[in-house]
Amino acid sequence: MKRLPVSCPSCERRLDVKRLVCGECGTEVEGVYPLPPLAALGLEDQAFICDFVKASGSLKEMAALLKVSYPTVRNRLDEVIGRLRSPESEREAGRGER
Amino acid sequence: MKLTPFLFSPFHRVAGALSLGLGLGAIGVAGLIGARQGLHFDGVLDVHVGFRAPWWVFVAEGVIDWICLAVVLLGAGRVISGTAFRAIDLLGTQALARWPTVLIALACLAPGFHRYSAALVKALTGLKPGVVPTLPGGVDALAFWLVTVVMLACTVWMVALMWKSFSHCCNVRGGRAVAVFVVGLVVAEVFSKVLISALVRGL
Repeated sequence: MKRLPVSCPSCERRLDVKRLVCGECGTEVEGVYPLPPLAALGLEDQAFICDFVKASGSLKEMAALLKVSYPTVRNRLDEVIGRLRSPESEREAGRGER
Repeated sequence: MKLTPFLFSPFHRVAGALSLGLGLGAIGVAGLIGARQGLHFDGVLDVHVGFRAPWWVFVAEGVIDWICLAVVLLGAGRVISGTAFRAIDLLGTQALARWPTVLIALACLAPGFHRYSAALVKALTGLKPGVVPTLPGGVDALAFWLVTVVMLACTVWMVALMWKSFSHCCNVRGGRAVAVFVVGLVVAEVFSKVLISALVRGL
């Protein structure tokens, strides 16, 4: 599976989207768009958030699904929250709102 | 399950009511085995061969040890943790962290251990200047020193599990968390000693 690159291979700064294309008719839109905060997370974090939403946000259900304890899931969620709250993410979110 | 995570990070998989049930079971078993041989867990980190007492005293000592540390760390965790953690997870995993006391109690059943302990206490309490006390040798001495090594190893392991429980359930790490844990351990040790003394005085 192709992975969406989110960081610059040269300076490691968060990448922006420059071109979007319609897979149906081929129309292209060009500009500079910041990645949404969730899209900028790693694949494992994204899968975790998807499972979390599917479990109606229940940490207990997530613990049963992942076969780990409740605090393990809680700590995993804290890690993701930490990444979403990192200075770069907040800067990107600010740019996205403008 | 791999051995190292099972031994040192069981709380990755087990917490909450399950760990509380397993932990209280282990505390009860350790107390009952201790009651057979006068082995007291009379402090959060203490184990001593002492006076005979009803079986429930030995179980109550283990429960007091657990509750003292769990409550102190619960308070400390609420202050230093930046996350909303559940009390049942910390209480349960702290109870389960005491399961090496079962191994300590079993090790002390080794033949010769209590004979050598009694001889050692007698020799030390009857020390006279210029007289070298004689102690039994052979199997009794070997059993005593082997059990002592097992006790030390299990105590270190138990403290490691207590730390893991605190660190994992409250999601805290680093030097500040370690310092808070050590202070909590000392405070809980004092509390447990006071409560167990009161329990024994009331017999």
